[in-house]
Amino acid sequence: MNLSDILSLIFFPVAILAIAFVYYLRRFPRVYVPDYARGVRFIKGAFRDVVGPGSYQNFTRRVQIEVVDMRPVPVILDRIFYRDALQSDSVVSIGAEMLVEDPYLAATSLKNRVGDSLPIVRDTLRSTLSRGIADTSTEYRVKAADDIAGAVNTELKRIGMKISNVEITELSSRSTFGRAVIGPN
Amino acid sequence: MLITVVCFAFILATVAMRVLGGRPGSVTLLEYQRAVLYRKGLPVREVGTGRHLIFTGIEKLMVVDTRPIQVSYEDQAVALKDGSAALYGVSGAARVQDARKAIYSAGNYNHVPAFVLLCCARLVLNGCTPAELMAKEAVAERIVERAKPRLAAAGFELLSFRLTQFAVTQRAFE
Repeated sequence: MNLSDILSLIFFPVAILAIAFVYYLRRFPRVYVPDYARGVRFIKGAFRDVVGPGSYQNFTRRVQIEVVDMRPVPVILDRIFYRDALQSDSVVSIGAEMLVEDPYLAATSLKNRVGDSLPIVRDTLRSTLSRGIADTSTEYRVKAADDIAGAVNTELKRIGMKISNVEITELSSRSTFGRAVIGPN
Repeated sequence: MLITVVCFAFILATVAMRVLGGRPGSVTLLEYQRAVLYRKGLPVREVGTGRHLIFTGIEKLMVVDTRPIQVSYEDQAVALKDGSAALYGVSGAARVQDARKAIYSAGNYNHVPAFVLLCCARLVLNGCTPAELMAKEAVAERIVERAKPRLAAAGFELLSFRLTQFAVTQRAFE
């Protein structure tokens, strides 16, 4: 048996194994996690860890990585009516950015991260502003925006979300103007 | 024997590439597209129009469309400074100027111009009285002054903006 025969004996099984391995890997596409996202890794369906940026090749079906986008999502809440502490009808609109704070909680507790968080934001916003007296001054807007962000983030923390850059774009109250100006209602 | 060795080396190289770095591939960017090349999840450099070779396993091109994004909203309501209300409409266009900033500005960068223009328009109009709103061009200019730096910070250039519709009513809370 010469060298050529030995190489042929090694080559054919290894080649078949290699081709089978490449074919097998095609069933497991790479998971690409850019730096603005995180990957939540599950092994046999149970949470294992959160992985950072990189390219991950899974070799079995036991490992699953769900990519969670951490970039902000701009949201506008338009014309939310509420009653302030003086029971005056008031209206507020805000613009804010919603983002993921905890990838694991966000991935496991919400199906639609932004859509499912909005009712919580709206309710918290109403209850926070209802405790104060609506005022259209710039100082009040800044303070109210901080209060809203604080209260909303406390509520959203349990589902792994948060809001930032809250801006009150519209604020108006009957108590500021009186009925004669606003008209009957 | 030489053929056997070459085939063997080729198959091993293919397996190694598949496991470690993916296979070589190419992406062609059109003249209105820009992209940021990511390697192992981290941004490396911005690339422009043309064909780009990448290793599909470890590299990825995040493509950004630089064609103008149109914004048009009608029948928006806002309370004015004196407690009355106004119906308004906005129309505008913006385009991506800095691909990297645009990618990081939002989950979907196409939503940023609409968000900024609506927020700025509402904020400015909420601080105006009906008398001030008679000078429509001046109000639009104030909105543009506010929106431009915010869009620039997000990697966009404001191309146009105008208030398309305007009517003052007397019922802010309906």
